[in-house]
Amino acid sequence: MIEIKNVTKKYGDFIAIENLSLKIEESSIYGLVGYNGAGKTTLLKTAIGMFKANNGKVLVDGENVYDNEEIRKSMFFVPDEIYFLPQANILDMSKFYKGFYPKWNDNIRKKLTEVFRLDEKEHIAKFSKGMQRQTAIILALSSKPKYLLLDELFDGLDPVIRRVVRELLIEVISETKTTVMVSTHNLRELENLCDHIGIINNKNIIYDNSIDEIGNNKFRCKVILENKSKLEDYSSINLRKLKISGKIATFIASESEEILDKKLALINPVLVEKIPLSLEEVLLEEMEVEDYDFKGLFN
Amino acid sequence: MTLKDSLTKKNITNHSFKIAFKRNIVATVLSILTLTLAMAIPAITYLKQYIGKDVKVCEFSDTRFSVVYILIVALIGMIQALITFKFLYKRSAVNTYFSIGVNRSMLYKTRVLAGTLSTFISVLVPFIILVLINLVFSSSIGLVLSYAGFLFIGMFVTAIVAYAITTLICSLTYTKAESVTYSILANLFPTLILSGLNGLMSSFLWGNTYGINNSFNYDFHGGLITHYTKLNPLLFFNKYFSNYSSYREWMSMENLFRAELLFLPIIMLFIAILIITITRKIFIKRHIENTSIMGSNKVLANILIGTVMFAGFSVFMYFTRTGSNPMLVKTATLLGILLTTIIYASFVFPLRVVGKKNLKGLILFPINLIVFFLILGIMNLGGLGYTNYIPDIDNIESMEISYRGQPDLVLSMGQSGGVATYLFENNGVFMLTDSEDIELAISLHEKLIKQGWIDSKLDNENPKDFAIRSMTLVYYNLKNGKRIKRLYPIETLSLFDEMLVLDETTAFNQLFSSIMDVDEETFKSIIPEKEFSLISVNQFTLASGKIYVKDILSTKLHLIGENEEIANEIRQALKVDFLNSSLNEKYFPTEIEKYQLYFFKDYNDELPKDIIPSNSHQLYPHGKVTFVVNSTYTNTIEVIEKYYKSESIEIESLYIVDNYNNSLANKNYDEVSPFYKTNIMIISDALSTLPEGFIKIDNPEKIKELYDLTRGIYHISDGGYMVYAKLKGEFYVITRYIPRNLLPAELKEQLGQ
Repeated sequence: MIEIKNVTKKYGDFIAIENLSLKIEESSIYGLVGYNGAGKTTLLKTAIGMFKANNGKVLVDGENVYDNEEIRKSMFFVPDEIYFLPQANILDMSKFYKGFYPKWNDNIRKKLTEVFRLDEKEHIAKFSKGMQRQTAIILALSSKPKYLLLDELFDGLDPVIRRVVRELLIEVISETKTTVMVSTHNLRELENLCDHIGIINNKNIIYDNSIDEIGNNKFRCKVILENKSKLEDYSSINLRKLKISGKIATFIASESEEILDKKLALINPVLVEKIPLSLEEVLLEEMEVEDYDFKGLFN
Repeated sequence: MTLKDSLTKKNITNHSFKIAFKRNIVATVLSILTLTLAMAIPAITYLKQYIGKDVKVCEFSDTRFSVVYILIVALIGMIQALITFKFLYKRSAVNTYFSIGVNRSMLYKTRVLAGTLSTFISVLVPFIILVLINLVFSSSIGLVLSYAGFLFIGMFVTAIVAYAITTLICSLTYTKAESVTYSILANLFPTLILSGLNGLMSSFLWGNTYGINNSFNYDFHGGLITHYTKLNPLLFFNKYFSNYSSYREWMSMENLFRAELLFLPIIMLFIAILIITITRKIFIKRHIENTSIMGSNKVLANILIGTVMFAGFSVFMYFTRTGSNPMLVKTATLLGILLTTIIYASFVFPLRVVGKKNLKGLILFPINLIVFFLILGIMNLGGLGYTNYIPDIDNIESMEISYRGQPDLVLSMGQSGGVATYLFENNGVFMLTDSEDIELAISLHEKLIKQGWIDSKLDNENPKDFAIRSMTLVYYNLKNGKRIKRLYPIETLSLFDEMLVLDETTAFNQLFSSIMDVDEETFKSIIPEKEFSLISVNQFTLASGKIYVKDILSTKLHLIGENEEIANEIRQALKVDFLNSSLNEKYFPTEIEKYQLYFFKDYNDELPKDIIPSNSHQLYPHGKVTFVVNSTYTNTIEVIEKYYKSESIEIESLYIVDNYNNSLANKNYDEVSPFYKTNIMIISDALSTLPEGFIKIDNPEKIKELYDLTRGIYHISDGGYMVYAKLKGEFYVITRYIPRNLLPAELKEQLGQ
């Protein structure tokens, strides 16, 4: 298990994450989303023990991860900027990582290289961005880590490869009980991959829940009453973005379906429409994204 | 930890080491090639002459360029460290190396070990090759191995020290540009500080003897860099390398290798290990989130850039304040600050120590300047007692002080084509041991100290306040064996006058007499053994030269001292006259003189009976000393007139030139002497050097009247006038001098005074 307890990380005077707490259970895939610059990479690097937290601590299997070589032998980090030795090919990089990861498996490397159709003797510098990321995934999985941290997992990957990667990760977890933490902007992929989501904004985790719960807790609602709708009618419901137009009211409800149904029943609606928010909608909702008016900008 | 865990850790450590070592292979190979070629080529060139001969020799380099080899190995150490830690400046590499299963301490250790081994190999292999080369040519295996071993240790330690310093800098910086720049500055740090201090000392510390331009081989300290070489991580082995990189069996015993020579390299090695150990802690605490961000370590930047500023400022002050025309202090200081600002800006902006959003770093610029001026102030105020120091008279064994008497008289082997004799001509020192002599010399020294630095311009109203370059030396030899040295580069003309009193010391009298009497024993007791240990009194021209005489206006010399008896007669007469003359009679004569004596060193070449002297020294390769015979030297005149009949000479015209200044008066070198002596010049040379505003006199009566006012010898502290006497029917002029108070008023007016 990865436990992040009240971690604050600063860059000079700038606070990247503040008093952040998080728990990632074993054998789970945890998806981390947030704006550019929200602190995702900082959180990952602190979780892998590269950065020392200014406050708080990160425990992996109960031990402080910072500069802990024993724990890190079972952790693999694929950053957004991937490093390869100069003039190296996949075989060279395999030798590099094999020396640091006792559980390295060459068969996995061979098989995955075939799956991704990469030439293992070609210089990696000649690979495209997507191919380099595939190489990094091959090396990560061949190391057979207990904890796998991936920053911008799907960056540069085409849809076919994304599907392959998704299936690989699911298979890895089911076979080896690996714990995966992945950051990405590609919300649709996360929905199909992760079992837990965390949204990072304003230096902290603002939303942390399982994928299943997302569909159960947030609804886009449209309610039609017999008489004209009033504000007081909806005061008992935990909602946002309420718009009333005559008898019709629309809002975003943050309630479980059962409780929401009970509360709506009290106002005797003529019609209720409840649509669970998608992950993307939840993200946009939680991040309080503004609506921009671009009309006339390019005249 | 189980056995399996321990083996795993060992394997990972080995793996980390191998990765680091492989990164350095190219640099190692290039280093081996560079160092081998640099050392082997001159070694082979020299050794091949000994092939087949059974002689004990070894040769490892060209000793003239020892500092180049030292710098090569230091560079090797630096480059190895920069390559070892190159990964610290790339974010992607940092992401990998600081996330894998190696903690920071182990990562550092394996890297340092790899780099150290690479450095070791880079220096060792060339030496192995050189040993083999030497064994081909030389007959002594033990000799070759002992010298090679010593040199290798010293060179390797030099490389490792540079490696250690660079490793420290790499751990403190976050970009490649900073690591390279600051590594160079850090390795040069002691050199920059010492050259900076020396520059300020030369310009501001009155009496300083460190780092003086010593082309005349005076007994100075050498520069601070040379003096403290043993403390300089870059240069500590330079002298040893120079002394021990070659051996010939006819060398002195001093050049044989001894075990105690290893002491310094061992100390330096220990310092390198200490630096590497401290750096490990810094590396562990490194904020890798600052990778690729320039300007992250402002303290380091400002210390090192501040050092360059200091050195630049000080060296600039040195060059502008210590030439023959020193810039005024205020002007030099303002320009120095400007230069310092340019140096500062050219580092801090590209290296982002200061930026538009980070102007806080600018505060360190004035702080740096305050430190400079603090040091400058200390120098100016006497260098914490250095300037004002005079030893207790009870502790003084003997003293030496130089002055500008009749310079080429006494301690001269004669002017020749070379400059070695100027040592004796301008700054000959002799030892004062008599207590009254020492008291007199101390009082003069006190006046020199009190005078201090002067920025002066020639002022006709007060000509004696004008200061000229002097290179006045003062040495105290103490009873405890210590030797205190001071040098005064400028002196007022009035102080030059006062220093003439040294002619009346017991020591000077003994010295002059010993030379004229050819008394070796007395001579040796007066000349400092340190400087003159190989000199015999016979080498002095006055003691052993052939003697010629000429009328003061003549251009022809006539042999007069052709046999030893006559020569001795002249010497004895001159000795009596000179030693019995007052200072005024010798240096401020009131009457015109008649004759001039020329003493030539006779190296078994036959000199013609009559010769025409020239101002070109090349025509007379033998030592030459000239002596103007003042009207008060009655004994000498009597002897001359016994053997020589005077000839009549007519002056065609006189040229009178305004004021003594640095371009006139016997000046052949930088230190101008206020002691003027008549000279002969070819007319074309003389007229081409005439400055504007001269007066030409053709009227014979006027010529006679003025000529009688001129002098062929004078201590020209009053800033008088140069005169050229053009001789009738000759292509020569005779240079003369008119004291200021003797020139008629109407001529002064014509000269604009």
